[in-house]
Amino acid sequence: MMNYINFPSTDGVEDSRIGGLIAQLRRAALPPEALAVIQELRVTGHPAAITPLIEVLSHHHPSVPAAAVEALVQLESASVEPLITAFRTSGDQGVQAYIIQALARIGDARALDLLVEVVGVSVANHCQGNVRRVAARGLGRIGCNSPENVTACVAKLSWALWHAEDWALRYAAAVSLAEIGTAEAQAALQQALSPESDVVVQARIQTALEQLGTGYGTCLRAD
Amino acid sequence: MMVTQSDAPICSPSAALEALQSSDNQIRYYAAWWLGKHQVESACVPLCEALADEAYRTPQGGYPLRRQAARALGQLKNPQATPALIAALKCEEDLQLRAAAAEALGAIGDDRAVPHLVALLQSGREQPLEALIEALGSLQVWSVREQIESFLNHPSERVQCAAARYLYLLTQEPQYIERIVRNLSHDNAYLRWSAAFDLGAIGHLSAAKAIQEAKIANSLKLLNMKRILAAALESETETAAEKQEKCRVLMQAIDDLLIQL
Repeated sequence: MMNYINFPSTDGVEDSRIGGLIAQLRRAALPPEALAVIQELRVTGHPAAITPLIEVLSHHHPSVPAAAVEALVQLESASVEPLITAFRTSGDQGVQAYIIQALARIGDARALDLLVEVVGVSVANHCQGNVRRVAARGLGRIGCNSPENVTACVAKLSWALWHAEDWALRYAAAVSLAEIGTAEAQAALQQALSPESDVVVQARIQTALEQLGTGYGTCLRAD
Repeated sequence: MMVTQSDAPICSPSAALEALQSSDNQIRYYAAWWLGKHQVESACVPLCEALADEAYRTPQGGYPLRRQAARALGQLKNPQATPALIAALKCEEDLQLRAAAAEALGAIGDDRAVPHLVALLQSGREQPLEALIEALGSLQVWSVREQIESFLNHPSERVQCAAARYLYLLTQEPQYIERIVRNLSHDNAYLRWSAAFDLGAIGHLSAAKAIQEAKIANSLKLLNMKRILAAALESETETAAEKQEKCRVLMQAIDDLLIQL
């Protein structure tokens, strides 16, 4: 992962350019203008862009938050903490959904607790089915990126695979378990195979088990 | 008649069957929905009885419980319900009920429905054309091809799409699928939505690709890709190799959609 702790500039020129772009993003009235600035901020890779990028997640035109998510995902490690804080302080479900999407794609272990929470408990918010599904995919990535969290990820994903009512959430849990691919993940898939009533989810579990059996589909750990 | 408490939640087939006999029409309506969603086979006879219900009627003359019972029977897919659904097709006062009954008969796939659906199509009176054409396509009634072709110029785009879907199922000619794909980028969101469902019902890889690229909600893409994959898995006409390749492509596409909102 790239390291953003050391800011790339010391002469102030770069900082003032970033500052200008941020001011421009906050002023941008029309989507094309905002998109162009987001693109430039994304290229700089500067962590100062994180706060304004999170701010535009509430932009009314869907292309703007979508582009901001892309940029935040590229800033990866540096944007995890600010995104989690923003999730906790925002009351806007739309913004929260974009935050979960960004965190799921980054797959950083610091987002584990939040993603576990969003995947849900037995009485879940059914209106947010898509967010739960995205969070379940995030747990697959975290399980791949941080071996010490595999057990927690597998536990929540197994629960979702066995108990969730939404087929897409069960399907997402199966894909994530296949991605993690450890013996415990494989056992969870195996256990879900025959009780699964949906023909599509069952086929996906079957495919996952076949791939794991041949050593294909297991994520490659960085170490 | 058993009367259930109006605030008791329905959480088992027996509770739902009991609720179907409630004195509260809203509860009966919900019970019919629940029984269909959970595909409770033992509900077939009581749901057929609900198709003749007189108690729940709107001021306009519609029969909400009958409609819901018809939809539920379509989910049960039990041919035992065919005669009752054919009778519901003849309900003069409720066009929506006729639509729901036609859809259910298409889903059940019992050939006994064919002459009745054809008679409706040729009646010359106002009919739920979209549902009728779809049911005739599902039942593979190709004898009405000429009449369906004339619907490609129908004033309703949804009827046009239903006709294109029927003709695609019959001929596999790309022109018909292209006709539906055009609606995936229509200004009207309802037409985009309806086109996605038409493509989902066709179960062809080119339809899947069009859905993937359409400007429609991600959940709608997922749902229709899933329908295409389910059809591929249950197909009896394709070879094992064809099926495997199709499933591989569709699963990859669904996997990619999961992390999008």
